Amino acid sequence: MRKVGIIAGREYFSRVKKPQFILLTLGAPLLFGLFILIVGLIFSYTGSEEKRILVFDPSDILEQRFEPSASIVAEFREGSRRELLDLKAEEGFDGVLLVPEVEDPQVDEVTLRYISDQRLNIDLDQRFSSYFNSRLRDWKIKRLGLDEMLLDGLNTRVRISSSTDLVAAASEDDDTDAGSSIAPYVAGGIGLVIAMLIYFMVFINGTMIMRSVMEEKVNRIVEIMISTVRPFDLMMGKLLGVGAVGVTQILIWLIFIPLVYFGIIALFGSSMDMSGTGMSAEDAPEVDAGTLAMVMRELAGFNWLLISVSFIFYYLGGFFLYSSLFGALGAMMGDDLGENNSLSLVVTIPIILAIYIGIVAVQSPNSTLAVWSSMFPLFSPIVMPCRLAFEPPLWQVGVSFLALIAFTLLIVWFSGKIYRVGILMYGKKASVKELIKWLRTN
Amino acid sequence: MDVPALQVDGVTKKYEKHLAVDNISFEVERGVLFGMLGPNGAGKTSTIRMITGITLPDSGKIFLNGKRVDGSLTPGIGYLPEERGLYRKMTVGEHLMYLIRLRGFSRSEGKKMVDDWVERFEIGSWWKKKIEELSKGMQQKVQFIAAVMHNPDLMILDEPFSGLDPVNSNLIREEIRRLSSLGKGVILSTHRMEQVEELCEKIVLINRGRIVLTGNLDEIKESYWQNEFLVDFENSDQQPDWNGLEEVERDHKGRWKVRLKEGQRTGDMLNGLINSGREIIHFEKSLPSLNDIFIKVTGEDLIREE
Repeated sequence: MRKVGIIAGREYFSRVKKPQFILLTLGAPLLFGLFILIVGLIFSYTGSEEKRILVFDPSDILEQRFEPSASIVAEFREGSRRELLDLKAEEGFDGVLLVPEVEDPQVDEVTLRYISDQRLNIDLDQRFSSYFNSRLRDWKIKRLGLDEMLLDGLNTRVRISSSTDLVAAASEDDDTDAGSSIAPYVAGGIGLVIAMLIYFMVFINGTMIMRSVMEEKVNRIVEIMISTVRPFDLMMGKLLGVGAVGVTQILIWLIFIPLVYFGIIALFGSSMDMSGTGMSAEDAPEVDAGTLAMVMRELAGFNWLLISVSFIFYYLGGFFLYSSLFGALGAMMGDDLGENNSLSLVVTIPIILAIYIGIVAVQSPNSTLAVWSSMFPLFSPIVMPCRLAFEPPLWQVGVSFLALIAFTLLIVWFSGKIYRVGILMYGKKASVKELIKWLRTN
Repeated sequence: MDVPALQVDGVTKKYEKHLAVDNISFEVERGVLFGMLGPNGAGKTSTIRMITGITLPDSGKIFLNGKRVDGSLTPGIGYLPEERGLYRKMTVGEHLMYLIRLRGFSRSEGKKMVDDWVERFEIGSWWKKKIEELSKGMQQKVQFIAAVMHNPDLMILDEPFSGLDPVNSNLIREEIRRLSSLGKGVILSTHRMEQVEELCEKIVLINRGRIVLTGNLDEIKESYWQNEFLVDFENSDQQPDWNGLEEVERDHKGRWKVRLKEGQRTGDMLNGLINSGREIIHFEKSLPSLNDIFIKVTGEDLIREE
């Protein structure tokens, strides 16, 4: 055991002492946020190129105003189709929009005609039709002489207030707003962030272990150590050392992130707006000061102790499970990198599957897929954290915990056997037949 | 007589279809420098890996200090592998301290042992250097220290001189001699026969997994001696002329290698050469080199190209 400690100590301190460690640990959440922001920007990207178009509107539905997007500049003209097209060519317009003549205010279908050298992209196409639809609605209201106030009264905002606390909900006067409509989004967000972090940490640390085992094998250092250290101790030392690095990172985050969070609140108060995030008001209409306050209240309402403990537990479970497999892989490999990459796919695929299931689990945390995956050890370290904020039944969390522990012990034992023989073999790669032989020997 | 540092008894190891080591037996005594010689791929490293407990023999037994090697730990061995068994990212000091602690020494005990060697090799200034910053020869010195610093009973040195300049080669050679004279078992494994001829008292010569020759180096050479002598003359271009000589050839230094005919005496040869009017400036018994013996026994060249 003393030797396991020495090995773990080397693995731990050689990583934590590096200046990159603290930078990466503190930088990771920032990078992570930046990553999400960039993905958001990519998705909200629309060609910003300005388009000048001619609009022909004989019934004056649009009242000389057409603004479906900031990039559209419209000019209203009269004339035959021929004349308008000539005008387009002469004055260099990008396109001509022909609005049909509408007589009947009850019309239920209208076709706009757009003539141009370039088709409208999907985004503009949708904007045109939805914009025209709302403008046509205003025109109809006016033509039919309806009272706009009355019409507005027909719209009702409906919210779902869900509660998982059956006892409290049973009492009639339960008006504690346990979960607002925004709750699932906040819970899902927390789950996904934790799952993503576990995913990245398991992945990065796992491959790190694989590479360091491979290095020890290729440069034969393991042959010097093997006369004094058992291979299993060598592997355990490595797992414990690198595993502790991950726990250190999580602890730093658990302390650091709330500090930053409260720091921001103290600095800016709750009047933050989303203008800095690159999303236009149009795209995120629900986010206003009130919503933000709701998010804050939601955040305060979570069982942070359970979430923190589970974070560390599932990280450790996932880490030991996958890293011992990565370690065994590293022991089986030679120094042929190409071949190693394809070999490591075997271990990589379940992790990637897990993160996809996790994304689905956030959307429907109590679906059969989510429930079973969150108890299946190869997936649970990533899927269960996605569900945790939705407060799944405790027995499921318990089964998930126990299954993960049992399965991880089995895999560590199994990997230890492969590691023991693999790390000492050289010159040739292990065949499946040989692997089975290794497993059988003592 | 105490037990030998190492006994290898009828050991065989097979890899898939390839018989790497075939029924090999030898003993390594304390204080007697032992050379394991053979071309690359002869089975030297396979044998070493079984001695260090990295692999187990298919059949046969290995005893370390009279105790059977059975796959459990063998801390009494110091092993210098042929490749660089070093953590490239660690500093020299970290690396040596890490290994000595893994061998069961406390931090302070280990530091003393490491310091002793660091002083002996005068590499104190490297202590904080990363191993990857060192030259090949410097790395070899660090690796040598790592193999012997914990004072093991048996040291196995696989090609210890590779990458070393003459000065450092000498340093290591003297250390090997000193360790052996302290009563340690030392195995020098190499394909360079001149290193073995220079250092070792006993040898085992391996080829294609089998022992070709084993025993005391001088006795082996003596037994393969074929009445040959080296002679050199003042005016050496002229071939020695005496009717008792069977074969005459010139070596690379321009000396004459002669073989005495069956039944002729050495004194008669010297008389004959002197009487032929030549001035003899060098005369010695010419023992065969290990390579000559190897070629003779196996029909192969020891230093064959790979």
